[in-house]
Amino acid sequence: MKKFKPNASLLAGCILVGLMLLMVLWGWIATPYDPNAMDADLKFAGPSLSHLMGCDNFGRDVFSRILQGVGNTFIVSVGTVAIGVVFGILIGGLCGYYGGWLDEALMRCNDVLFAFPSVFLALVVISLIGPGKYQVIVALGIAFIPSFARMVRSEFMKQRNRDYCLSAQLMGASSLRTMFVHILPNALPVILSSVIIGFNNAVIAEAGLSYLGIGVQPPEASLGAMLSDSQSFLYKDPMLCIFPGVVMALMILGFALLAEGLTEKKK
Amino acid sequence: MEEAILEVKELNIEFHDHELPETVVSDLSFTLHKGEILGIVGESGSGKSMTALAIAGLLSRKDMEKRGEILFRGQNLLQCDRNMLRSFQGDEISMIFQEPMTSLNPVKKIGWQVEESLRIHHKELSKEECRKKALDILEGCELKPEVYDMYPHELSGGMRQRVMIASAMICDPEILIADEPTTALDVTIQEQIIHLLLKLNRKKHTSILFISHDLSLVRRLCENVIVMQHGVMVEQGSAEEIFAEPREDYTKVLTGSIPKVVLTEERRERLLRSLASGTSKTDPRQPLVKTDHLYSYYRQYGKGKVRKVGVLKDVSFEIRPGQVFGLVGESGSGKSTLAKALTGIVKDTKGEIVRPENGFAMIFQDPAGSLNPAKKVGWLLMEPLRIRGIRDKKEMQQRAIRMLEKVGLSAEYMDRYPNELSGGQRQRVCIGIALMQEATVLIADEPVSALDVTVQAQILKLLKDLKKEMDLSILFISHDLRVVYNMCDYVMIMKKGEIVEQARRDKIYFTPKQQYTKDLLNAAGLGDLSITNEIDQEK
Repeated sequence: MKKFKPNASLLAGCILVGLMLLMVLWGWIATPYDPNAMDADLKFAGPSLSHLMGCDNFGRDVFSRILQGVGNTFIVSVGTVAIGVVFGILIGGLCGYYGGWLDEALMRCNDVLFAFPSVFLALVVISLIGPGKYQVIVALGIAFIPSFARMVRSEFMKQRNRDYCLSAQLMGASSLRTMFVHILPNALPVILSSVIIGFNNAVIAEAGLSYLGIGVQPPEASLGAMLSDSQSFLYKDPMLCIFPGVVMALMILGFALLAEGLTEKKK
Repeated sequence: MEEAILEVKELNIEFHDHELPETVVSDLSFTLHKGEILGIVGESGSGKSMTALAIAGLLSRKDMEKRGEILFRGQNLLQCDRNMLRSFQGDEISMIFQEPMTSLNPVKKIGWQVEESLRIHHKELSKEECRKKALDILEGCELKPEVYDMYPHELSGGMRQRVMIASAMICDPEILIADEPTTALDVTIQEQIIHLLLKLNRKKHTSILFISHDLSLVRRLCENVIVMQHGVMVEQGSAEEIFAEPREDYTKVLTGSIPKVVLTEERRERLLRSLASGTSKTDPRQPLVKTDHLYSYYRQYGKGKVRKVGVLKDVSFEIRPGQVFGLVGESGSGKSTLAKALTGIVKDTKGEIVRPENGFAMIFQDPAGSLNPAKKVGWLLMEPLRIRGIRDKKEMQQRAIRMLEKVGLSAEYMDRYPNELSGGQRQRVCIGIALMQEATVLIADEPVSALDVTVQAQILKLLKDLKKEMDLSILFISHDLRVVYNMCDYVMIMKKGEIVEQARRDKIYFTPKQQYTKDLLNAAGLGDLSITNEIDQEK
């Protein structure tokens, strides 16, 4: 086996994602100020030593709100990707392994879901179950299932006819055992890199929904909602949108670099 | 001796893509003469293909270093620039590859592909002249003129390889480099390609550099042979010398690894006696495996109708306890389908199948594909036990280690992944896994075809030893008649899903009845062993 050699993109990706995780933890344990505490004296205060990123139109500490927002984004992304992966593996695995009419039926449903952009699909779901952090997770999770299912299905189809699967069947392994004990570990590398790309899409989708006001509900902070709020003060205080924007861009960049670095390693 | 046409002097090829430079060819020197067929023989990793690619000018990666000289027409091919090299490639030096399926462009017509090097090197020729030349060379390669307007997917593997030869030969090159040109083909087709190469060599006086791992093939085709191992030339000489009286140890091992087919005096007597009496002893024990007029089908979907296509037709045979049953056939003969029908993977069958009580265990051709790459060897060996419901971890581990030792590996292999093993070691693990299943009958589907000859000999020996030790019954599927002779007691020959002939081994090899059996024996170079004529004379 080749020795593991970290490459530049993997390293940079790890650092950025690591920083993000630190921010998430920090936000969970304690923020410098109460993210929802308003102070009329500090409205539109610029960055200073006591308020690193300044304060917003209500005089709330932007840095604290960003910490909370990153935390929320993280929870939503993890939840979304988890729903997508678990159901994607179940549906994709069944389709890829059994083929036939089951595959046809499930994949046609999948195609229907695929036909709508995932954000639009999430909008529909939210209009049914109402806005909110946990509702967003469910809505985006459902919207993410089709792409994972399709990916897992093609991987399972590829592995299904390899000799080691036949050999497992000949030993008397049940279909479930063959699918999840024998085939799944071989599909993991592919699943892993699409999980990371899935994180990226989830971050963007969550920000989009919160921007539209149907994601994380105020007063709780979210990067998307912060961007949306700061829009009205674009000229008055551009810092208000620059900080959340930069943090979100770095998060996405981190995941993208991580995914790229991981796929490069495999070559 | 004819004039030298290509001289290789102290060729060294090194790769620098890892931390330590890796030498794939070191200090190789040889001369190719006009009209000579020179064979380069070696196992995988011997550097034979690298040498071929270097001569063809196809090694130009940045992370490798080439030293030495390859002299052709007074030019050192390693030093001359791309344009010079290009003017030789296809015109003076051409090459054919192992895989005819991928070396032709699937979206271009055959005629166009054959003419390509004419268009590049002989721009003065008109379209009609090109077409005429292409048709000539196609005819020379024993292909019909209709092929000119066909696409590669309409041709069989053998025909594609002929097309490859035609397009390589159209500019009348001085040198034809053939890198394992027959390895992917069936034995009878292989024979035809060899004859075609010999014919072209005689007619056009083209020098051929023939690279192969197949010693018996090289022996029949080449005048001179170079034996390589780990990038170093081990021995060089005329084909007869090398095979009859090898000087170096490695060559001896190599030639000794070719399974021998000889009829001893004692067995000859026995064969003659059983032929005379007309009866052969039948085993009174119940057969372990039996099929009775077995048919199998696959469904072809198309145009709204489902058509059943027959794969196996009226196959009846029996495997007795302790027997090694050889099943021989070319691709498309249904031998793998038969194995799958027996194991129940192929379900669409008609006719009776008697299966052994403990079922079958199977060994596959490609040991890399039949081991789950995500699991460690120990896990893989314990899987049959786990499936049978054994939960005691210590016991499982002990049994796995004992099995590893049985197949010639040691306990330290428990924690390795399949991709850390060599081909031979992987096949040993596969055999171990099969034996862990404690099945009564082992199905070995081309178990040594993907292995080098020396490794092949080791695996065959292992199988034989295990068979003796554990009283196994084996269904041994192979296309290689020499290997089958050394393994099996009973041989069945199949063609296109039907049984051609089945009998005790010596009967098949020395008194073949069917023409197809004779063809196969001829293709394997075993045709002149038949004693049918002698028997007739004695009568």
